Amino acid sequence: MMGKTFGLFPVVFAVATLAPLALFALAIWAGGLWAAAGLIYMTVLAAGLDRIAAFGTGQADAPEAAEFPAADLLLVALACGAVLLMPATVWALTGSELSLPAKTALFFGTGLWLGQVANATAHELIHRGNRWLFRLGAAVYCLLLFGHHTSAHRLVHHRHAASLDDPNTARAGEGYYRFFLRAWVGSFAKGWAAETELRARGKAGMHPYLVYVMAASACLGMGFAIAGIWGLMAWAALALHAQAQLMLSDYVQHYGLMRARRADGRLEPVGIAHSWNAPQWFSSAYMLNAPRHSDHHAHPARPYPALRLPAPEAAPRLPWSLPLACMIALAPPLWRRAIAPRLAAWRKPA
Amino acid sequence: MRPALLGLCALIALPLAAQDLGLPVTGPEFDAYVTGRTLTYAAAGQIYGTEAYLPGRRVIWAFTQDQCREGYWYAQDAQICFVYEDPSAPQCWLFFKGAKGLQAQFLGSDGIDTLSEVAQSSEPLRCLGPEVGV
Repeated sequence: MMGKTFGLFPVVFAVATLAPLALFALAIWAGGLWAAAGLIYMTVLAAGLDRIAAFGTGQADAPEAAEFPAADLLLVALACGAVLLMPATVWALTGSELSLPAKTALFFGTGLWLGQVANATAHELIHRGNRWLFRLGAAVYCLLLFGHHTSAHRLVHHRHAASLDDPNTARAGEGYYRFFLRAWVGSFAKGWAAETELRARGKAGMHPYLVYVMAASACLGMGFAIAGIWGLMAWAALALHAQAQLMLSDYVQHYGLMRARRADGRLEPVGIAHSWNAPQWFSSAYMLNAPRHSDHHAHPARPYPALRLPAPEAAPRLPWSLPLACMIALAPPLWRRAIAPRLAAWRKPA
Repeated sequence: MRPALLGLCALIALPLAAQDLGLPVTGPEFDAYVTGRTLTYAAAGQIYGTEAYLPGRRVIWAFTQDQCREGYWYAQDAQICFVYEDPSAPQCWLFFKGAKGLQAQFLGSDGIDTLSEVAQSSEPLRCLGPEVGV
């Protein structure tokens, strides 16, 4: 007899992800307190709601091979929202309508949304088989000047996760800032090599890295068109803020977990014990179940509403919500000390 | 780590459960009750799934509207644990014998699922999906 973990109702995903988008739109239009509301939503409110156990849950996990047409619709809406939000925020940040505190709140609020919600959206989309959904996901990564993640995540990270061959798997003891540089450069290069190899084997079409570079140039060009050099810099700063969070979640979600080498010299397959998971309902809702990371690696094509949370003794669990874990990882000594006992428990065979 | 955690779960769950259900059934008791039968379970009034218990502690489990999964069970302390291919982690339960049949409490997830036996048959499980064997 099999136990169930419980998933979120589909409407919870929609409300949790779209509500801040509405707040930012109001902030850009009417300014002031709306910007503060958006920032509070992404920080204080999110952390507070995560502490209320299991509100919004209760829907049993979806059966195998269930389909979720509404889930894809939400992804499309969020991706379109991201495409509009980025230039609109650049416009608002460089304009004269908003006060400096409002601009600050808008920058961080929007940046958090792009790094957590838009990133999770793009991530879902690049795992979709439908060509247009996939391209939409790639477009969102291009918007964040991070197009190469589309290639590196699928071709490098999923193949080599929890091994030294994956640049986006943090080694035990490695600090976040060092990881950021190593993983950024490593995933760019290895993703490039993987795409080149696919083309050498006969895959048709333009090399995607050409698209990523051209799209990033076009984005920065749009920033420049909106408000000159400050517009370009605002775009780049928002993108960097979002990239930093994407890398933080990669850092936290695989930190220190390495696959064992079997007697025949090959690595054991990626299993549920090679990712850190987090059960908190609200951050799971606005990150489209990204904190159910083990199941994503076990079933990369599984749509987000169907992702399952393994039992705590079956796969590693973070002792904090994913956003809180990411905050802690920003202070490497604190992170190392706090995660060490948990990691040790998983590295020793039980 | 795993036995310690499960032990802790059991420690918390046992007194709660013992209040009105008595002690959990043991491995031999469970074996005698289920083997050769197909039991349907419900949670909160909704059918949850069905399991066929075959000789040799082999089982076939299917969530409602889902594919069948083959596995086996074993007794560990007060728990009855099931292992299937996916997920491969043991799924451990405390079973109790009530007036209306078995009750089961899931150990090791957030919030404890309580299931009640709602139907019994001696027919084999009818499986859905691509792995139909007949």
